[in-house]
Amino acid sequence: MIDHDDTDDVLQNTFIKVFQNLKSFKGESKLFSWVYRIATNEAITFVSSKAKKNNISNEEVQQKALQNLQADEYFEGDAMELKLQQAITSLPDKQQLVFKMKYYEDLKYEEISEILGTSVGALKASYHHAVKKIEDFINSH
Amino acid sequence: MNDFKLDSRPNIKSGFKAPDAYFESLADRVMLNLPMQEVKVIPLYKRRPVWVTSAAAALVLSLSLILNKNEAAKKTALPDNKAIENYFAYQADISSYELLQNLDVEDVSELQESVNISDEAIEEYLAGENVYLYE
Repeated sequence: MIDHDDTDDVLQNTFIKVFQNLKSFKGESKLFSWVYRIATNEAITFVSSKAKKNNISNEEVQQKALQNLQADEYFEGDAMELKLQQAITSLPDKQQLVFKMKYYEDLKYEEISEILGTSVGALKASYHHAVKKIEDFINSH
Repeated sequence: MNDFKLDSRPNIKSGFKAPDAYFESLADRVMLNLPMQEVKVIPLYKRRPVWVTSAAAALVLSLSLILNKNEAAKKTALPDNKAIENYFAYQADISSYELLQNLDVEDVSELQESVNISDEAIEEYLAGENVYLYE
């Protein structure tokens, strides 16, 4: 999420879902992976819902949030950090997730695999392509 | 500028920060937004033993089965009109006089209409029985 208020909503929704479904958690994955999976699903659902409500695409929702980012009191990034955020938003949804989890949060591929249900090999390929696209974006903007 | 390489430099930060004391109030805000659920009250002790409830259920079931059986028996015991006619004709020890005593005028009229007796049958009957004609 980019917008602070949206992030706050998604975070609360995530913890509510965790609270409601904790009994059904069977320990088949790590608790961290289970909670993170709920969080990613809630984020995607939130963006899709906002897009549908405003009759725009998911990408347009994120672009609108990006336009306000510089003025956001909870964003203290410099020009390069802002540009990187813009580059990430140009990626497909799932590729954005993979990139953020690997680059910003330094999760291992095995952990990302458990969260997203994607093979490690596919994740490595996705991240490699994401890096290439971001570099091209920054070099051209 | 075509020399930007993501992996050749220290990781760029996201630039986002959490508001001060954000996580301290998060738990309270989440609890406030939890949907209201009815709490199921389960007593700590059982008010009556299980065997009492089981015995009562068995008793009700038995009674309903017995009543049902009697009801079914009653229904099957009722004979149809044909069976009644056959009984009176071949098995019942009832004289014509007794039969007549139990028939009223309406029954006789109905019989006259519904039962088609030929003249020959009447003459045969009159010839064979000790019939006294009352005038």
